[in-house]
Amino acid sequence: MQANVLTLTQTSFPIDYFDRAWSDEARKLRENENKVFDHDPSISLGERYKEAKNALHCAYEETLKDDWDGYGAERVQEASVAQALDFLKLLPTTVPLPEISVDPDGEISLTWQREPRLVFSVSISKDGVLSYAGLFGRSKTHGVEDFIQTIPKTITDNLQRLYSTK
Amino acid sequence: MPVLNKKTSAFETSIFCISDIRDDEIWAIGEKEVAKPRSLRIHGRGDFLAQTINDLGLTIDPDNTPPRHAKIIGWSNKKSEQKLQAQEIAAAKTTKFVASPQKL
Repeated sequence: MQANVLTLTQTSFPIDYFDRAWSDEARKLRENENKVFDHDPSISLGERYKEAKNALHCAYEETLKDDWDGYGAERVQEASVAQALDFLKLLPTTVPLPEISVDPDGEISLTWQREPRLVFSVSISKDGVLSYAGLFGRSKTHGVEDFIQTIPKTITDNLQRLYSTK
Repeated sequence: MPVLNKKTSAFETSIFCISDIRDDEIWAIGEKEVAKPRSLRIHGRGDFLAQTINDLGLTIDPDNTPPRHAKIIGWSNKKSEQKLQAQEIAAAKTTKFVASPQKL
């Protein structure tokens, strides 16, 4: 039997559409968004970090409400977004920027993939708990680490493994 | 990634059986049963064999509500293991991803 999964995305409007609407809900969403994405305005941003931030912003916009996927997914956790921003700031420049998405539990997910069986992904909780998993050919790994001021060595080692595997 | 069913406290993934039907019929199921009821747009789909699910220790639980609908159950309760299971499904040689024929 062949089965399939149908993936969805939500039609999203530009954020200024909601500004023009001037509803209380739209205004609150805008205020929360500013708090999350401007939470450290004093730091000078490089282009690479700006690119990551923009990608994170797109994911954030599409998952602002509960059930954003039509299957009961929880809305994006703003604290998870903040943790992801801090993580991306610390990502070594030798590592490409990841694909950014939101898990059904509202956590931000960062995925690096070279081939179907060369993939590594990290989900970041609002409390800085990193749930990771990866495939390296026949080898596989998964586990949990805490994100406290620096990216754990387990994570950087797996990223190095991903990009050094031929 | 699976979604937590709050009624059953179990993780599950909604799927449809597409054996023996044409590509346009598959997209029609998606439009009728998935996209329209949720006012969402389908960007693509992932096709995989039931054997891939079974090989990972997961189970396909058909309920046929709506017709051809089933759920993947038996996901780990640990998020890192769920991520690995999802990666394994995506990486299976027989799995393929198909973009929606609709223009975005």
